[in-house]
Amino acid sequence: MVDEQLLPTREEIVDALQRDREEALAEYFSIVQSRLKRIVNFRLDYRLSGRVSESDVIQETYVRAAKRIDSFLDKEDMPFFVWLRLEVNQKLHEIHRHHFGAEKRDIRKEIKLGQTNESGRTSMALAAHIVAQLTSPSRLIERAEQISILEKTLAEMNELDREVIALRHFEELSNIETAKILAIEPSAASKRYLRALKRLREIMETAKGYNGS
Amino acid sequence: MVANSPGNPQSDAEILDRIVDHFTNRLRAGDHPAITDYQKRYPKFKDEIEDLLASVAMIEQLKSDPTHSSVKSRSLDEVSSLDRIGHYKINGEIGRGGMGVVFEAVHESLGKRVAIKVMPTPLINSKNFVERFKREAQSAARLHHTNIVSVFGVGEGEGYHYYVMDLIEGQTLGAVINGFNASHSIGTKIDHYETRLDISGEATVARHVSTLSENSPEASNKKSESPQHRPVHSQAPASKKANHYRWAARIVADIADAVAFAHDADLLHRDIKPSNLILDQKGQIWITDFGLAKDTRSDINLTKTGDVIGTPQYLSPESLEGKYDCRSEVYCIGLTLYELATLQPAFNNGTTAEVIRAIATSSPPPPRKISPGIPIDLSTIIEKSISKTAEERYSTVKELQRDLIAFIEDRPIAARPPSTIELVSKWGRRNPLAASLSVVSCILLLLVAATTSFGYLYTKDALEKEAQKSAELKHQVRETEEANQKVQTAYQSQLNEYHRAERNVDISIQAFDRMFKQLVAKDSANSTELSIDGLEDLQGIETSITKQDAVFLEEFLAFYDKFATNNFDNKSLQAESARAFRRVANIYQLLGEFDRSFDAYKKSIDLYNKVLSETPESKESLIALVQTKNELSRAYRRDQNLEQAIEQNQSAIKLLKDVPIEQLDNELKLELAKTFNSIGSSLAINAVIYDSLEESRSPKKANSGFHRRPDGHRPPNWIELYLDKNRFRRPPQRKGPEPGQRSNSNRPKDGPGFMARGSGRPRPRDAEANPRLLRRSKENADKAIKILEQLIAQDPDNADYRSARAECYCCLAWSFVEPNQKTALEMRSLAIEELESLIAQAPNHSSYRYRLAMAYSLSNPSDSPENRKLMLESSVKIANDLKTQFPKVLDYHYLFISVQNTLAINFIGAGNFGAALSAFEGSKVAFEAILQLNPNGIALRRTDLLFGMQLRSLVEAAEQQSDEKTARAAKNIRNDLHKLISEYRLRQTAATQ
Repeated sequence: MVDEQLLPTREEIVDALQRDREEALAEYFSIVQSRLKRIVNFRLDYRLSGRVSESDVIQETYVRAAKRIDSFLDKEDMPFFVWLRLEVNQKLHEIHRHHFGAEKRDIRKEIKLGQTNESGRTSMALAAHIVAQLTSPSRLIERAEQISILEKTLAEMNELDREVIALRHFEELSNIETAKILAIEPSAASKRYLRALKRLREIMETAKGYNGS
Repeated sequence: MVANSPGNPQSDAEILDRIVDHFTNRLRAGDHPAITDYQKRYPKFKDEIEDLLASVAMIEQLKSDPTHSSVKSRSLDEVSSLDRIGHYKINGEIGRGGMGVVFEAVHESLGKRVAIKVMPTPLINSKNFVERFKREAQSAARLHHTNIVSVFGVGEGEGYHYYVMDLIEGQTLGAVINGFNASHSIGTKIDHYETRLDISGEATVARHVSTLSENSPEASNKKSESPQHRPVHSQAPASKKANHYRWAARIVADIADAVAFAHDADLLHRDIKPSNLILDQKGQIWITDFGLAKDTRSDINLTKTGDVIGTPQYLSPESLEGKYDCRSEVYCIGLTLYELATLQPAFNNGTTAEVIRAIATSSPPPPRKISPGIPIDLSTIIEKSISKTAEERYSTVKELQRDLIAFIEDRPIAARPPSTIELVSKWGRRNPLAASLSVVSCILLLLVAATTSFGYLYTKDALEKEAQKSAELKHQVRETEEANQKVQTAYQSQLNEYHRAERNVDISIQAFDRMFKQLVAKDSANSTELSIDGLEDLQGIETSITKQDAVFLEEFLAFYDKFATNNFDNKSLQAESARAFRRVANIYQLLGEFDRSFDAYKKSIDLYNKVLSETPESKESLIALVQTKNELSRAYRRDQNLEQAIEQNQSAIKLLKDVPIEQLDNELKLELAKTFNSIGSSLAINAVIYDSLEESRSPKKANSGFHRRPDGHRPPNWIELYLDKNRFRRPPQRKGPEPGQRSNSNRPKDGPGFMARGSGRPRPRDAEANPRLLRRSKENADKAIKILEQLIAQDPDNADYRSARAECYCCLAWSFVEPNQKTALEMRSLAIEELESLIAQAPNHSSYRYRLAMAYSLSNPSDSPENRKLMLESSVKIANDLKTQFPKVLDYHYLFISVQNTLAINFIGAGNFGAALSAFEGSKVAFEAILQLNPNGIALRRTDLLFGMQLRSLVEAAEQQSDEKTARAAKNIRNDLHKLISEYRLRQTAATQ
């Protein structure tokens, strides 16, 4: 959340954008770039690694955002970061569609965690994500059990809860941002989040019981 | 700690969220916040905090990128720039691995040359860590074996931990294998190693040594003599290849000997792979890195290097579950042998995730498929060693080593080629997480059948070899006797198991149930949640189920069948058996193995009938019977036997006819509606075929109300998809041809495939036939809709009802088109609307998407060309998504080809030949995928029907426009398809030989 603190308020950003669009966007974009990268890292289909780089996506997102600054200015209650995240997601969706031929109709929808790899399975996306992060086989072995618990838990959750976990932990967004993106009240987002965490804990405990460890 | 502004009362949830947030941020910053601190601060939420923060810690830990973690690693390059460490002067880098950088170094005062491995992880001040590091190095230092590189020191210097080892000059086995591959000549290089090893024992080998030695005059002579492009295989005659395999066996036997030695000392290597094995200049093999810190169950891990992406290629399947023992090392040694024999890794490189998935779910191709020259015994040894489950491997490395020696010495090996038993267990093994209990109990059943014949074969084999080797006769006889005795004992115990199994048949049935679910849903995330009795349930599951799987399932069923026959009084057993047959039948249907599916369905129906005759009140069995009949009907329909299809539906209706509709419960009502609609769809298809017959100008017509498929030539199962488009594209005859719709030439004219003559008498032209069938089709679909509307009125959100109704709409869109295009259009819109709304609610429900693609592909004469193109493109897009998402589901590939070809036909109609061609090209690729998935399946028999007429219509249209280029291109696609098929046939034949 360090980055978030550096970002000025919406009013200031709007002001700056109105003065000099290009320069202001470049400045603010660079502030949140690492956060956006994290999102790309998480949402980009693992099958595209090697073909599409994170930086490419970020760069293309920037181009896209530059063209669409008005869409930010028009939406009065839209936080700057949330808007950029939306742009990233749409860019990602274009890329996925280009590579996997997904349907156009989905473009308005949020890319759901489970849909990042077009397989509709959260667990695969998540496992792939985690696996891709790991640098050695033994790390994987070490974590295999926990990954499977996490997968199981996520698979059981309803979509919104799952998305809350994804946003807060894999995109590392704040509760406010999460609520904004999912178009629910912050208190509701918070409740879902806490509930999902509790459920995860329960399943972890049960799993421990089975393993006798 | 957590900001809590006074005077601003917060809800509990808000406070907790902030606590969690705070904790999360500290974790991400690399701190190690203690949960208890938070608990002390907020005693009120003690339990919640524990739960929440533990979860957060787990997630954050899981996703943490080691490079971001608190233990920062230095890059290997940084390590690489060292020029001294401890008392050693570094002379140069020898290699890098996941664990660090290896240098050649010299002890400054003693002058001893050594290899030093430096860990890139900087010193960690954890006492535990340092202790373990030293302990492990010490235990490794105790290992003295001629094939183990000794570790004789461990130290700290320049901020790194390092090990000091003997310096072995040579190449890693990985490099040696690469060398073989690069030179493409097994013969020459092997000789190099073999002669030094002196394992072939033949003097003749010695003369080949020089071929590798560049400096030898003989070699240079040879070079100048031989033409540059000498064929590769000529360099590796059979005898040399045979030597290669013996050499490989010898090398791996030595490795196994060393590993077994370490196992005796309770030390696991944990990372056996070709790059950790060094072949020195004398041809001796060395294992490096023995006992080095690879403990995977610790907080701080030496392997957390952050820089090196270790390949998971050599991970054993069970290690993915965190299990590792000496049988895992059997596996790794087996993989090394595999690679040495075939010269390619068992699991090819891919992304980490791909390789891991392959390890968990698939078996590498049998070694002999890659190199047919590999002796059967050696390949058996390899396959046994790399079995997916540890239980099936050699139970110790020593056993593996003994078999390798036996192979080298031409003695019989203890491992057997896979028998029925192994094949069955392989079947279970595809799901590595399968509860071993269920697999075991099922295998017991089959063992009875297999043991007897195995005992015979084993003895016979042993005796034959005995005769050849009189010198070993005594020894052999004893072995044979021992083997016999073992077989006898095994047989006896299996017999006992058999009796016990009979008593516990219920348990076995449960086991079947579990295996079936795991098999079917082996790639699915939540397999156990699935209800997978019905065909529809199966369709949406991505499954890599193969025909072999189905055959094995059926073999199991033979047992249930027997038990069921012998236990007439056990009703639950019969019902279970019926259910099991139904499941197998559904699998066969999905695989396109229709004949097999018919048999299994009939067995299931017989059994259900039996159950119902005894207990007519069993509602469950009644529903299952109705469903099974409908599934059988569907299989018939796909096999284009419409008469039987309708008959099965009708007999299903008969089962329910005694009960007034109002008294049926909802489940039966739904099934009844589906049955009516199924009849409606079959009739509509039939009407279309009739229609085609009418216009095919063929003098031979089918008789009776139905078109029968002629024996020996089966129409495709996608015909229901295919026919309708051709039909609806055509303007009604009476209106005469319309411009722009010329493409109706795609209609079959010369009677290929299903147009071939029926078995019966010629039928006089019957102008009434088509409308009559369509009318009947409509009547049935109406009946179905009526029932469904009632159901939906009770339960408006029920997705099953709604999707069934959408299917009825599709049928009506079809049966209305001739009498009333407008109504047909409305029906189609209703179907599309309903399906899209269902999909919006359940985006991952693939069968809705499948139906939507079908609905989009239903065309109507009043569609505008643009609209029609858009709809077909949507249909293709959905089909493409489905087949991309579920690459193993045959149906989706068929769907894709079908709609894609329809789009192509549409392009032909619009005169856009280029687009038509590329659409056909796309279909061709999909067709290849089908061949790969099911090389023996119906695709082979039915290409002509899948592509033939459509391609021909492109040729015709192009020729009419004198566009020879397109005509030629279309013919080329056709030829490609034929070539594909014959190649596959050849490969299949080769594989079976």
